[in-house]
Amino acid sequence: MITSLRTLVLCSVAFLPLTATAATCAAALLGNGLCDCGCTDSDCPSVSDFAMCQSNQCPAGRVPWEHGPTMCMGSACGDGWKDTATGEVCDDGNALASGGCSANCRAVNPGYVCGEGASGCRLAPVDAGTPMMDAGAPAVDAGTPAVDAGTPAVDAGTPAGGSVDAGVDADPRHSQGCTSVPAQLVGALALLLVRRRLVRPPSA
Amino acid sequence: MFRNLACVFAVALSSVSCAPAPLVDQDVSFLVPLDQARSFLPASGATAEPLMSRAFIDWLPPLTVVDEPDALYAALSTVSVRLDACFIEGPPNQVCRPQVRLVLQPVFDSADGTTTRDAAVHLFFSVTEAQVKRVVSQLALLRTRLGIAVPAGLNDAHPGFARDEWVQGARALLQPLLRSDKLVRVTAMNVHASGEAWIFSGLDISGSTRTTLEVPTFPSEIEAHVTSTGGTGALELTLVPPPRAEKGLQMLLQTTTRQQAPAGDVAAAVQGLLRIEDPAAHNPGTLDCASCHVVATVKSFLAREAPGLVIDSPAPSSDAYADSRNMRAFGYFFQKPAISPRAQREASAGRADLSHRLEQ
Repeated sequence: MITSLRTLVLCSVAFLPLTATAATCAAALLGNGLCDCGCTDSDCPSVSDFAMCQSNQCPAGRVPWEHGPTMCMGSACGDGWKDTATGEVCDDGNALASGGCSANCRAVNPGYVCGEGASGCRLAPVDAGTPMMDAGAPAVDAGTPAVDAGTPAVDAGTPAGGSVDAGVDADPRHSQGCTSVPAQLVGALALLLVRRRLVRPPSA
Repeated sequence: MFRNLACVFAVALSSVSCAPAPLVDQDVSFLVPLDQARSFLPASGATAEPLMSRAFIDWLPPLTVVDEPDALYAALSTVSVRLDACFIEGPPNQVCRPQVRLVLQPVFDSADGTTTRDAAVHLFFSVTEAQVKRVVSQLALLRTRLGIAVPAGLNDAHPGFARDEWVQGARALLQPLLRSDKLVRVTAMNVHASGEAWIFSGLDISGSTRTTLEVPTFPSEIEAHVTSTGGTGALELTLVPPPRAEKGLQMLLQTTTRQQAPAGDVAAAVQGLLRIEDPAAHNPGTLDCASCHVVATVKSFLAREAPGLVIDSPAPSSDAYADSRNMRAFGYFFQKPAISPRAQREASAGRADLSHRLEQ
């Protein structure tokens, strides 16, 4: 925990004016002569690299790279990170017209909702109150290929248990974020089942 | 048949019989002009058998994030060709394999003319030594009979592309070797949206079985990551996993790190860099792709930033390497030809080897 706190402090200091902080950063946090976003796994041990960067942030104009927690990349539409500073209103991990976000990341495509940071886009619920995994909702974005768990096209950072997310943009170039949609869905469904069970016990 | 075809071209033009011609580097390894890449040997095959099936676009990590897969497949075009009679992978003194290697890049039209995405696919075709010898000797013959002057070494696209006869002959010679059932390996270099990060990965193919390639020197890793955030101003590279075959490369990847290192360590690291460039010292079995692909840019920046360092070998001739984001070894950095010193040395070594084999 002490290590984690120290690292967090270093990272937070890192994004003060760079000229004042470069000398105070640990060598491991120095990339390009600046303090980068990466910290150790102890900061965020249970989530993806992207989330580690999310917790520590990158300097303005830079966004974290999902494959390298110590690196901040130049912000660009299609990098999987919604960067509001550059005018992005969404970023589903590609700069294509298909999927949840427009090719220039300036508009959410109809039928989708997009989140902050690296949370990407997903199909909107059919109607409020209907769970997204309802049988009537499309299981996979019809415009993107199904994720083949046996191919290297699958992002190595895919959360455990998240094979093909119902309602989630299944484009394999979509980066995975800290807030796992499948985990949320599973949790919500589990809660729903528990509550139903508590309120209305199964009949004998 | 194709030997005859080449001779037909040659004899028709010069009325000289098909005698062996001395080889030059560009008989075994050549760059395709960018504006002819889509018509020479496109991945989709156009009028011939595809070089690789459309399915590989889905099997490999996305090459870019800006192209729809179908458009990407249609744009993938051969930008360079290398023929090897004896390709060694791994420690020396083991059995070598004849092969043809194609480098493909997505080639598109833009407002500024034909250009490439900063990504690539390598296709490796297993062939026989006799096939390589025949094709290379016929390419040399075709060049000679057409009177095409080819400079020594690799500096730009093959001059033969200015002649339709050579283009048709070269394609006719190569296509029979590029059969889908002979495709044994596909490697990819895909680019991040920022244009500052790349991932190297690959597949070995045997029949209908695809096996994910492990990174040489890192058997448990299936991807090598490179970032370069210095642009044209400075060298700011990272390699993940870090270089292992030549560990000293690590201190040369960043201008600041090198400047802070003891002079003796830097000198030793430079020797390691030169070994990476040397095909006799390292090959794709002893060296990770990332180390191989960054070395020309590192050397270019060393020549610029530290001219006092004694480097007994020339810096890359192409100014494309003045941009630290250029990871190309034998292709195009957007519109600029990028031929690394290692690619040049590989061509020379391949030419020398084939010349020897053809004399036997």
